[in-house]
Amino acid sequence: MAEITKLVHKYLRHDKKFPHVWCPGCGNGIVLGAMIRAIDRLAYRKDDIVMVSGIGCSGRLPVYVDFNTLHTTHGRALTFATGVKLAKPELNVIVVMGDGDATAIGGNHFIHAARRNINLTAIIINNNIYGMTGGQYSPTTPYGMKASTAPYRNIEHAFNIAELAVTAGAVFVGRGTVYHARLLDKLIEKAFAKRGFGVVEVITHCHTQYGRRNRMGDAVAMMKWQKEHAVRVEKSADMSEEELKDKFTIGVLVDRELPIYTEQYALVREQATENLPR
Amino acid sequence: MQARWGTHGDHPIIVLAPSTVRDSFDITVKAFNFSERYRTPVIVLSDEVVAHTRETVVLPDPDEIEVLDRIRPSMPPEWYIPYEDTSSGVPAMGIFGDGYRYHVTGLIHDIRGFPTARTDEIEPFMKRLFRKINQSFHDIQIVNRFMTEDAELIVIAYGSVARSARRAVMDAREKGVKAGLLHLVTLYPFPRRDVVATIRDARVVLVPEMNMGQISREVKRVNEGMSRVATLNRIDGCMITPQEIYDWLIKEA
Repeated sequence: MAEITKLVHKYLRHDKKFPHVWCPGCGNGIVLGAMIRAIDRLAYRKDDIVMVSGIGCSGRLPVYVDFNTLHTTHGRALTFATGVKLAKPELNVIVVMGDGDATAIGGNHFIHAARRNINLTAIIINNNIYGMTGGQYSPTTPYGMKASTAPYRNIEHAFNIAELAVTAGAVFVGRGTVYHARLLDKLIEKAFAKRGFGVVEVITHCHTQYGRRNRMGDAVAMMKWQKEHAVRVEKSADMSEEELKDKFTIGVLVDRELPIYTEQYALVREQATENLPR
Repeated sequence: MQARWGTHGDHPIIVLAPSTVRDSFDITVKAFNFSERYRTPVIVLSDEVVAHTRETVVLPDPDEIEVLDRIRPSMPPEWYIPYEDTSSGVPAMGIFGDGYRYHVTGLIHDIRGFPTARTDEIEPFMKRLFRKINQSFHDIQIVNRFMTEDAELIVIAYGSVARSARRAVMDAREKGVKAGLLHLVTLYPFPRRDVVATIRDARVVLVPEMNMGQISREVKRVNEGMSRVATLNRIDGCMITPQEIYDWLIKEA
């Protein structure tokens, strides 16, 4: 335990900005820890990492770590990240978004970044709600659940973020939870190492907003819920539809190879330069 | 107005309006240069007429174009303070990947770039944003004067309307009418000094606009009752023609 704490300490900023803004029991710290461990294992240099975020609780995540960090406007993390990657293809660009940020306000950017296969990694922290702004329902709030803007129940159907990413063309898609911390470490490391657009959806809990309104208990109870409802993707193949009814799969959903935008773009540039009239 | 006041909170901004196709090129270059020099967003505010105009232009040789670059940090990374106040108000901008690791945010931030809610950090920050623009009005505020020296009738116009106004002033001069044009290239920060100097001795000032009167309000504000300010507005989706401005000039002469 002490070693892990020391490791995280190595990557945190020490000049200012603690305590952090997250509620006690929040899963965001687990996600940040998993990211730091993956970065350490891959031996990335701090100078070569650009961490980009949007708005929300997840948006504050890059503030605490000692990388090049960029906190953008709501839903536009991927657009800024695309700009950074095109200008500086040699940098490792990591984008952290919430479910609302990635699939509502930035929904279009998300599917098109996946379609283009830009060489960066998107970590989407899915807590089923807009936590920071006051518990409004998001595109991932399940049907029938409550939110501050749906006090009776949510009548919209939820997005499945990971499946959306698969369909949109991401080359690596994984889903994990903050309960399955070791699996999350592995998924995030794989996504970072993957060349192309990698997505990891992290199922987490917002006991302050979502859990409280839906009587799901505290952070521990909600993590137990994750344990009980998550099924390894390998195991789910042998299970019936009835058994999988209120479950979700975790693990690597897709790992494939497609031409990468940044590389293709460099080739087109080369071609265009050769054809310049002189 | 959307360009100047389109966000919440307060901030200065530079707004430039092109009036021809060639102008669009030059002003875009200018906008990038302002943006690099003052580290601020610059809005190139084109209108529908300029946007739809097709005409032949000769672009300058790339070597002849003035290109300014942002100030880069020269100190070692551990001494670098990304939003430190300087005499110009424009801090040096480190580039991601060069070793200057810092935080960039859309929130109000302290000199290290971290979000802050401290009043003693927010006020100096806001004042710096305003100061860096305010102390450079002479560089930022661009106007073109056309026959304004002895003019009794002044037309103040921007965008495509400035082009119509120029034609109308030329035609009116041929008829012996002492007309002149003050063409505003920079809309914000509003070129108050130039406007006041030009309209001080004018009998009547006309502000033709393709809206119900947005810059005319600014002109009236700085005019402070010195001259009579008239407006000519079109909101029917058509451009203001030279004839309309010419007719007004003849009527007022």
